[in-house]
Amino acid sequence: MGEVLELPRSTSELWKINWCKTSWYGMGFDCTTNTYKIVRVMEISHAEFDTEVHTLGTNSWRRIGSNPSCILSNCGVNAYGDMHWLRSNLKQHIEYETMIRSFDFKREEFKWIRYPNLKYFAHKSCIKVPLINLRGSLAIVNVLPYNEMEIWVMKDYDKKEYYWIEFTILMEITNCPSTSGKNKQQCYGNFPTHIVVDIFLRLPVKSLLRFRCVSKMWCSIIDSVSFANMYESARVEEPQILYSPPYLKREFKWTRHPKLEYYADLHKKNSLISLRGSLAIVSILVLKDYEKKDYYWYWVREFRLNIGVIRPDDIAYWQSSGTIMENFGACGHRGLFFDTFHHGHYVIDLQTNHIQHINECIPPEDYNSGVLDGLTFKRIVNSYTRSVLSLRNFGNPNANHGDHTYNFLKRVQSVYVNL
Amino acid sequence: MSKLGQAKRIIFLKTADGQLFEVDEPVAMEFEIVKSFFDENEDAADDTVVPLPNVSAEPLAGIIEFCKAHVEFRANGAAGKDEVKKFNAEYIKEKSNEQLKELILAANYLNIKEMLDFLTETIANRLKNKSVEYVRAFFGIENDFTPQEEEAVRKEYEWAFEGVDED
Repeated sequence: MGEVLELPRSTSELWKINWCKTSWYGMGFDCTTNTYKIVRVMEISHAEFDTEVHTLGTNSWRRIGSNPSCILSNCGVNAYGDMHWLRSNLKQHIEYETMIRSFDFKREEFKWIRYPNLKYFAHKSCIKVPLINLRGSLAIVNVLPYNEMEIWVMKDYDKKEYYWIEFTILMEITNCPSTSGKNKQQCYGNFPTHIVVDIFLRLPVKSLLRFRCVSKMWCSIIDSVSFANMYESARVEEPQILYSPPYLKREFKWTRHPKLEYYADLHKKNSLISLRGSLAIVSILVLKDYEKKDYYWYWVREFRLNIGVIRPDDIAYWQSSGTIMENFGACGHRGLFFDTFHHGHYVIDLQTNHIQHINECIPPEDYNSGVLDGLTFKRIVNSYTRSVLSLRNFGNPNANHGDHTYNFLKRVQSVYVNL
Repeated sequence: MSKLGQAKRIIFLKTADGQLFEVDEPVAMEFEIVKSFFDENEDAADDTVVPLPNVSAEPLAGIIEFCKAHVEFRANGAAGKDEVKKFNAEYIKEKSNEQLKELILAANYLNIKEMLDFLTETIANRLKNKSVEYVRAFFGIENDFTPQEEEAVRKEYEWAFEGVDED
């Protein structure tokens, strides 16, 4: 008890130089040699990995040829002596076959594990939940927006076909006190909740906003962040460029746009605009009226976070340059933007209306001083990373664009490390 | 599987109201619940009757009709073509809301993904331009808002109440 084991230093030059890069560690047991082993993976550069294994009792790391070939989620879980991670750089839909990356400590290699066929919601919002070890078995917890929880447990690990069994747990409704005492039937009628939500996902925004009036339960589902996530993922046919972190979504409100002063470019999926003097995002997700193909409705998500007014001369600047701002990530009153026209990166401070060009470097002290602490900044960078990744996947016609963005990211990452 | 070789296998299904259905194997295997019944009981006799305690005869007959047609479409390589759309439209046209609800509950119990998708889409289409009252009646939901609360929620997105169909 309480024993501490110091891991040996790496002898590999790669690990010495890149100690600050993203890395993952996992521990497991090799029953063929009765030894404990530790595996670690580092992302050297985009989609390039280096893997080392350390056997407890020895004093070195061994480099091995197998690597995860995808970004892993932060928390891995050990089960059956092996380590398991969810992959985290997901595209729009679950790719069932390549969802779980596991490290086999006996063979010292990575392998894929099939994801169970969740009853529905085969898109990314349901994969934010971690893998767990449930009484020795690998398990997946899928928290659904209507206060139910599915748990999928792997039944047989050794068989080539992985079987999953499913449990559904009805959670106590906490965010909706007025309905907690009532039975389910009054809330949903006699419909299974997943069918009701499935119907919601197929309704236009306008109908959903009207049906908030049906009951308190419906209102709380439609307003929930997890439903917003699902709805977005389910409705968009193409990958979204913009990734707005869920913690921001709470602050957004859907409004039908009265009159746009300026809209950047409706062909873009998401654009930053100035609306009645404040900052807003047009989301083309709901721009299109599906019935009348020739007619567009403008839907705007208004910023409710410390609404700041961009000075008129700034607006003129954005307008005159035909700038389209993409890849928005924000925290507190600061937003991080990428300007596709100038290929520049900017931080816009909504309180002071100060727009700072950060193409060259981000002064770390700037981020230490203001509202942004290290953690929130990391969140910004994370959300930014994701949006850039999706942008890369999107196949931007401008090849330099991707590299440029990527270089910027590297800088951002190193700045973060310096904090 | 059957030692009779080429003979078409028939699956027997018994509904909650005691009716016995004889269904061709490929059609019955569309029902995930029936499929897993036979996966778990590999040595089940050919004349095993699968009990379906949550489904009554009327929706089951409707579901079999739908699945049979879709199994044939797939066999003919017609899946996803206009022919299928036409069949689906005809199939659902005469169905009342009550029948539709029974169908979706049964399809959910039997776990037939393709049919569930089709039925949820149909319900969403039927409901999208309807009033709040219509939707409450459809799902049998009790309004738990006070009139003042409901008015307040309504006010938030008043424009969403424009252009609603007559019930």
